[in-house]
Amino acid sequence: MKGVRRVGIIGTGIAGLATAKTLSAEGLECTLFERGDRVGGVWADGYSSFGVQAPKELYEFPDWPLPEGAPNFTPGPVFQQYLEDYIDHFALRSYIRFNACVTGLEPRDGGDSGWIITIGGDAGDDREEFDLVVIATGLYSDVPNKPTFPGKEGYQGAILHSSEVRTRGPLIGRNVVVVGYGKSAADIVAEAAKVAKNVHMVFRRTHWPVPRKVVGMLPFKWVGLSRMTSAFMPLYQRSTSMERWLHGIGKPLVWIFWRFFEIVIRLQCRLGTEISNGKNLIPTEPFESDTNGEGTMVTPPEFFPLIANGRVSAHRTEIVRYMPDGVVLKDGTRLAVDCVVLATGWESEFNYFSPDIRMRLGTDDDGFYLYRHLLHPDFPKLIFVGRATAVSNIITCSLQARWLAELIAERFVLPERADMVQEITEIKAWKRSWMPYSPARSTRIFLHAQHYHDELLKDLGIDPLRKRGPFAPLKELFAPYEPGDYRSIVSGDFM
Amino acid sequence: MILLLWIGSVCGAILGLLHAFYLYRQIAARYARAGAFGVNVRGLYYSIWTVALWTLFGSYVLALWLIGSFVSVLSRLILKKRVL
Repeated sequence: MKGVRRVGIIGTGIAGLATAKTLSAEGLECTLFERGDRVGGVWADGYSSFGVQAPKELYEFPDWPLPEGAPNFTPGPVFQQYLEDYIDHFALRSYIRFNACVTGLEPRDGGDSGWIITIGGDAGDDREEFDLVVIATGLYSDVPNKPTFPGKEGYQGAILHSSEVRTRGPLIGRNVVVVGYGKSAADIVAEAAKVAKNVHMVFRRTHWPVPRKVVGMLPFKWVGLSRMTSAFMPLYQRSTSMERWLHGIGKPLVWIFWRFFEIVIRLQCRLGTEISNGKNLIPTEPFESDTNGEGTMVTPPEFFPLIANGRVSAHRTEIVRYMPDGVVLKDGTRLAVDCVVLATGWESEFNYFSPDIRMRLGTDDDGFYLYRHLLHPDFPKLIFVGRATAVSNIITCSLQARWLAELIAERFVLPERADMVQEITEIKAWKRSWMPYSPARSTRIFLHAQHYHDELLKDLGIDPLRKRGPFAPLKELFAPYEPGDYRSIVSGDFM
Repeated sequence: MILLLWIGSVCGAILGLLHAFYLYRQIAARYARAGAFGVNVRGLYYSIWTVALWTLFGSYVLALWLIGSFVSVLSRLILKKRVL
């Protein structure tokens, strides 16, 4: 990538910060744009009781460990402080522009020589040119998805998106209904159960939960995040011969592995608990495909017991309309509630692009697809870091940042445009062949993260087998990869 | 039971050798691209582990494969019957 000196980075969450640290260490001039008044992205905007759903050893920057004594499943405010410390440690603060909302992003000379960022502010718009732009705004902070139902104008209670429940205040003493069945829904239900008068949860579909400890003993990372588990997932787009054999003649092994795991989860989380209208919480999709949908979550420990003991009334249906004093469900149930919390996720609109660019990126309803989840062949100097969702996406973002740094330094080259387009076509077909539909399906890698990380490393000519020691082969098969395994790569010491 | 153990271990050893050969070639090729030729010690080490693990657990893998085959066919038949 000849001539890249100035890089504009939109967003100061983990993706933006990892990119800024890596690129500035390569001598590039970085400028970060943050629309708010503090860094952190989703960590700065968290709802009440927000926290990391992965254990702390899985969710830290590979080259900047969490401080000693940080609580496990790091609470949001603690993680936010960790990001502030990261910025100070790597001297990134001077690169950040706060209250800088990007309102326009247009190509310079067709995009081949860079981009022009327009920043809206109180003093009017400002325009700056960059040789390369990184979009690091993630998937959980653009536009809240707030479904509407008939009768909303007549409803007298509060309607909030999950991101607006910053404290318990809106929930205290109220009759609350939480709409959704993802992480934010489960967290807010658990929070509401402590302070609200009544708590309902309404969802169309359930998803397989992942308990923090399987059978109360084994941390889930040992079951879900190893190479072996990756091999048992539906075949990766570019699978190895061994994986093809496993899913061919060895298919009964794969089948029984997932069915056994489902039985364990079903019993542990009491998914057979009868909820309203005789239904239960057992998902209809098999675990191995459901886990790549929208709602897989590591549940707060109290979530299922709250439903089982009746403190939370669960309704497997949907809202059809509002009443003045509540909501009406599709199964005919009327809920008297004065607080509706829509834990229904986010939309990524990228309104700063022109309609032409937005069209060229892709307008598929499951999101636009990128080469290596990073760039579109038509815009090689527009990079999306953080658009590949995984359990430990902090590892993913860090590796993506390293990939980008190596690309800019021309220590490896991109394939021909036609080959990248072909790759995108193949990954689109692959995902659509087995992943459940969701508006963000194009970004999902989840339990295939190991395969994806290996690909990024192979692009850089780095050995993807990172475990060391006499038991390395055993660890490669059964032990989860943790941020520390990639420390030398992320810090650039591998060369 | 002893027969299953023997059959499983033999099958495991055969599969292990095949897997080990494949793994060695992958690792050696990667090192060759980086300019390192000759016998690849790391590849050899991984291959020995592969053969050992497959042989050790061959009978368990075989047993699970047999159970999985039987139960998966049974569940498909039950589901088919329900639909009909």
